Amino acid sequence: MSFFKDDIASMLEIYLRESTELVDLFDKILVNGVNNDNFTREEINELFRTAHSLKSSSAMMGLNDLSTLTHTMEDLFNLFREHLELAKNQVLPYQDLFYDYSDFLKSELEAMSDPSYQPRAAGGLIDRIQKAISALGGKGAPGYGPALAGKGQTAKLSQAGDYSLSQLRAAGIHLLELYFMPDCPMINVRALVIIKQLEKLDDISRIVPDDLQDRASIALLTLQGLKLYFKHEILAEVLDKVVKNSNLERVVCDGKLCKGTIQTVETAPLQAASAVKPSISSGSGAPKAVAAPDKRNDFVSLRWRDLSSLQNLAGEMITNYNLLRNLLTQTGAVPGLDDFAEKYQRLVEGLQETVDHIALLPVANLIPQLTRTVQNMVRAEGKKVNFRVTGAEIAIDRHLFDNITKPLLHMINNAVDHGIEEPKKRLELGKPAVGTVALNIEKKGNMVIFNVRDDGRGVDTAAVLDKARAKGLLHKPIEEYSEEEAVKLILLPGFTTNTKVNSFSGRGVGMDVVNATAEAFGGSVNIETRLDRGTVISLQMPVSVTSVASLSFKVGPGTFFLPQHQVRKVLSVKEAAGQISQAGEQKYLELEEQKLPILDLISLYGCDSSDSSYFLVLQSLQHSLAVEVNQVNDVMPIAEKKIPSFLNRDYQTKTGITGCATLGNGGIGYMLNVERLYDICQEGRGSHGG
Amino acid sequence: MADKTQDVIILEAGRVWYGFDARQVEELISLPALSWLPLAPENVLGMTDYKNQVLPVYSFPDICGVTAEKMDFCLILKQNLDMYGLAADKVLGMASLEAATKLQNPGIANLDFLKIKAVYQLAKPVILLEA
Repeated sequence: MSFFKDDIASMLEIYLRESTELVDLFDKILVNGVNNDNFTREEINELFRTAHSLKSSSAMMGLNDLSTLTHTMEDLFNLFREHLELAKNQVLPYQDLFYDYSDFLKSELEAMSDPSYQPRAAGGLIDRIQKAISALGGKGAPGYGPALAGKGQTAKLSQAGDYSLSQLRAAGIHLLELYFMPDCPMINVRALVIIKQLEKLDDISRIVPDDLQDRASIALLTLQGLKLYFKHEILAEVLDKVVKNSNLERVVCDGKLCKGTIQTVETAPLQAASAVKPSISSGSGAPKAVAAPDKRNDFVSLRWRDLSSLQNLAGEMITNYNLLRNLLTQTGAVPGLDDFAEKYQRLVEGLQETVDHIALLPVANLIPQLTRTVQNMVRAEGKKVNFRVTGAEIAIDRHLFDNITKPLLHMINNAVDHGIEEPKKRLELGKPAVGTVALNIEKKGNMVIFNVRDDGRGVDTAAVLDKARAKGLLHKPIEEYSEEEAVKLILLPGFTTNTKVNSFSGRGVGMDVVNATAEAFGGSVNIETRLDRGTVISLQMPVSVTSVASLSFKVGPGTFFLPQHQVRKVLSVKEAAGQISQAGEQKYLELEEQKLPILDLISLYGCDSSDSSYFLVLQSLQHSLAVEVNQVNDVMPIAEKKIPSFLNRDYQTKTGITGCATLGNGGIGYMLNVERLYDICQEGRGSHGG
Repeated sequence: MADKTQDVIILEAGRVWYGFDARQVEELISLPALSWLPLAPENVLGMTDYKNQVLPVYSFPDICGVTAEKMDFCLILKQNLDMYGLAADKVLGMASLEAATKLQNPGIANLDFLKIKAVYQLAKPVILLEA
């Protein structure tokens, strides 16, 4: 049975999204704090807010342990907030606690999507935070008071009880009272949404009713409205937000009516004049905040699946544009239609650009996780590493964003674990004791390049070759491997030179993930290394995955595609006539001092081989080969679709087909993968006569 | 507890009636234009675009090992999160299978990837297949 009841389950998606953002923000600030062993005032305020927001929303969802946990963390940051000096040099001693807290939240949030989710107890973690508060001189220590205390005031608000406006004024506390429209359904959920919005703008010291999940809160909200207490003057932005909220019938700010009619105001006696003239009114009578543009309203949340649909639709538009272009080529110039096609092309390009732009996320959002990995590894392995990041502001496609974390983690693991030497060893080599691992992200045209550079020991290619031979990974005599080819063997599945397995690497799973991700997205991996000087691993990926510029060609009755950047050259059979050689059953194309194996796609797919017309010279990161095809069409943007799962990996291995696309005429074309084609060639399938 | 009745789409192949649970049938359409699939797996007629999704289309008569007449229909079937097409020449219509008409499993072998769930008695026995 699901933990979340139906009325709450509808809020789960919003809760998960908001909470994940808050935990990510917590991590981001934490990583910075760990680096500096200090939190700034702004950082403490932000950390406090994350805990506070998580506390309220978790309580709303009925997640009592999470609510208590985040409440306790809120207490800790409140202590830092009240006594800023405590935060100095107090981050490192508590980093494990902070990280464990963040990990706990993340694992819970992840688990909540599972229908069988049941909350985990957080008691141990809560105890540890409470101990930290005590150790830092919290609760009971001089100057420590509950978060509701008016700054510099002796009067304090308790969680229970009502206060008169004069009492509140004396405590320097401001009150915002919100009354909902009659018969407003799910009033507590609406109240929570308002609180969430306002928390982004300002600190709310107290919320009444405080337990919005409690069914009694619905009655309280209906009868007495939602009361929000602020320590500071209520921001115009806050007021603007609530005045505009269509669920609210009445808004009262420090006893003054800002929205609605006077007769229902009961919480504080008011002068009629103040009711019709809000204190925030400008000279013209319009509230200032209404006139001021709210930058936050420039943004809207978008469901990921809606964005995916939009991307698919943009892909379909591209497909249809290709159809129009084909038709125009066949029919020749049609008055008026060419102009239309040109306009259509501009619209399609504009649409694609906009959709791509919407789907972009800054790489910066990934950095806290990467930095944390480095911090953990450095601590565990006794190494000293300076981790630098440049270009984090570059934005990438959401699909790519979701898939890039793992390969980047492997690249960085590899640099720290395999690359950077122990401090003593580095000093012996005349290097600084502190190693450097630098992640540089740069955009070149439609590609984004992630470079992970380290100044460590470099890749010992001789050792790599020995290991690869022992594992049976070599496909030609060892002496025929160039340095470049040898180093790329580390990208093969199961390859590792590490004899020790630790938490970070050594199981031979890692660099092949980098390679597989590159392949899946039409990207590439490159490695440059110098022994004892360091290594640069570059992962090049397309910024957008909506479409890929691809060369279209025919084999038999079928249409096929290859990413344009992987097609080095197109040669007619006539042009290649003097450059073909044969060894056994394998034919080769000799081109620019390279001997490229030829894969005859026509015979591989069982078509009439006598019709062969062109060779395509293909180049992936690792391999080059030539394929023989019937007809070469054109380069066009292709919105690639997943190959149906019924055509499993065996089928893909057998054919080299890894994706599909809908053609302009409604037919289906197939995207080929260069590495798969090379493997087919190596196995002797599809060679001439083979 | 199992449903007392189950709505099924009835197909005929080689004078045998087969049923697919209507909940597994996304749509019944006319057989669309199919694209050639190189080295196609057994019984795959080709590929088609169904609502922006590329699907393989299997031949139901081929799966049943009978000679197909003109295949005019295509059942779009759901299997977990995936879909595929099943081209058929004879689609007889819909029927409700009553639990009471369930027969003893006659021990018929599965048809390729189509598993036999049960056999029911209508005017003729209906072999209920799992998409």
